[in-house]
Parts: sequence; structure tokens; C-alpha cells
Amino acid sequence: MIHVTTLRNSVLGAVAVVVVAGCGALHPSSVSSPAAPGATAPAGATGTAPSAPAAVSPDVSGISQQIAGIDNQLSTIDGQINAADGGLSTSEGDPSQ
Amino acid sequence: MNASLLARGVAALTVTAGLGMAGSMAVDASTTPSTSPTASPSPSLHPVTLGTLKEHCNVAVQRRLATLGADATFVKNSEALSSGDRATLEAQISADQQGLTALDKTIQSDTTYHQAWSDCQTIVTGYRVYVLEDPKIHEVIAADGVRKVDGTFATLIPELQSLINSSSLSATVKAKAQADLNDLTSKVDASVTSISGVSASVINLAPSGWPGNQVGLKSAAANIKTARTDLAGAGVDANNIIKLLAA
Repeated sequence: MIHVTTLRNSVLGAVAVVVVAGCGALHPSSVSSPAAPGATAPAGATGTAPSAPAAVSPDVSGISQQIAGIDNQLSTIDGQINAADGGLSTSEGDPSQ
Repeated sequence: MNASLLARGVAALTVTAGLGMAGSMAVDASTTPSTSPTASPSPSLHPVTLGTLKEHCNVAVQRRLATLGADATFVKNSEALSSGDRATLEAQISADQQGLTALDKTIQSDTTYHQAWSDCQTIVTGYRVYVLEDPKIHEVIAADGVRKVDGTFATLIPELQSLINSSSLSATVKAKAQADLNDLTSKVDASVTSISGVSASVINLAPSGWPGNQVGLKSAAANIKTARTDLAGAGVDANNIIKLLAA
């Protein structure tokens, strides 16, 4: 019985390590790693592993930064559009006057 | 962290928009003449000496050189311009600067009022700095900027899809996020369609085609604004997806 308990704890510990490592490995800019292993706990660990979270939200900070970068680019575009509009609504005038 | 990033984005947006408006106002401030060039000199209506006329022409040239100088800075510093468009615009600006400088020298050397007046009109008719060159440059920078954002979204879309797929949130939340992503994708596709060919359609517009090519400038501006509106909607969708997934 002791051996069984020890074995079970070892397995659960290993599962927890894998889950944590999986969360760290998930990087939003990496298209090649689409699955978030931390999002679903293995069936064998249900309700018995104190260190394994039941649900883990994806790490979205990298994507949030990309969206902020897009916002900056859009504001720059707005400046150029405004400048172009200025030229489209004016006239050259008479340079001799 | 998202709130912090959003705050930084808003702050940067405000600063950049302010710079953009400042640039626009500076360009407008240089376009003070409100009358159109007359068909021929009328010394009786414009009783200025040859020397005064030359001064006016020199001021007109210097104003345009200042505008072109500012445009050159925009072109040089733009992170959105394609290398080809940047090279083309730089060459055009440089040619205009050299041409206007040479024209000013010619005007200052003219010995008759009529010749100086005629050469002075070429400052407008030969370059169209305010109504063609300057807005054209800004449109190309804006259009290339839209294309760059389209490219950024093209990278972002599969990443957002991956986050949705791997999310452990409820099916209802994931469905909402997926709907936002579908809308985002359609808006980016629309932006790509609107902006396609815009830079190429205006970058080689020349003063010799004025005023007919004004139609092309206005059409390009409309397409850029349409694409920009689509991208704004795509940005809202992206932020909604992040909020859903981070909840």
C-alpha cells in the first residue's frame, strides 16, 4: 500500500511538472505550438493533485503587445491620412503674389 | 497587464496622432495663397517691381522646399513604406527639390517682369507640391501602413485561433471568441481588398496630369479610409478575444 501511494504521488508530481512546463512553453507568437497542455488536466490526476490547476488561461500577453503595436500603426496611418486630406482640400495659389 | 498595455497603446496613439496633426497643420500653413494663377501677368493689377516679384517667387519656392523637406523626413522615418516605394518617393522628392532650386535661380536671373512672372508660374504648374506631391506621399505612406497592419493581422489570426482552440474556458465563451475571430478575419480580408493597388495607383502621378489625376488621389484616399475603418474593427475584435480568453 505504501508503495502504491508513493507511486501515485510520483505520477501526480510528474504530471504537475509537465503541466507547469507546458504552460511555460506556450508562447503566443509560436504558431508551431498550438496546444496548451496546461488547459486540460490528465484524467488520472482528477481531484487528487494539489499543485495542478484545474484550468489555466492562455498566456495572452504577447498577443496583447502585438495588438498594441497595431494600434500605434493605425494612429500613424491616421496622421498620414489627415496630412493627405489637407492637400486634397487646398489650392496652390499664385506664387507671384 | 492588459490594462497597462492598453494604457500605453492609448498614450502612444495620442502622441502619434498629435504629431500627425502637427505635420498636417504645418503643410497647410505653407499653402497660404488662396487665389489661382492668372493667365497672364497684369502689372497694373499687381503693381510690384521686378525685384518684389522675385522675392515673392523665392518665398513660394522656399515654402515648397520646406514642405518637401518635411515629406523627406516622413519618408525616411516611416517604418511602413516598402523599400521600393521609399526609393521611388525619395527620388521624386529629390528631383523636385533640385528642380525648384534651379527654377528659383532662373527666376532670380530673369531680366524682365514677364519672364520672371512666367517662370514663377512654373513653381505651381511644374511641381504641384501642395495639391499633388505632398498628399501623394502621405497616401503612399498610409497605404503601405495599411498593408503592413494587414500583414501583422495575418500573423496574429492563427495565433488567436490557437489560443481559442487551446482554451479551457466554456464552450459558450469559446464560441463568442470564435465569432469575433471570424469577424476579424473578414474585416482584414476586406482591408486587403480595399488597399490592393492603391500605392501603385498614385505613386507615379505627375504634375503634368493635373488636374485630371486629382480623381486618382481622392479615390486612393477613400480606399485608404475604408481599409483603415476595417482595421479598426479588426482591432476591436482582437481586443474582445483577448478579454474573453483572459477572463
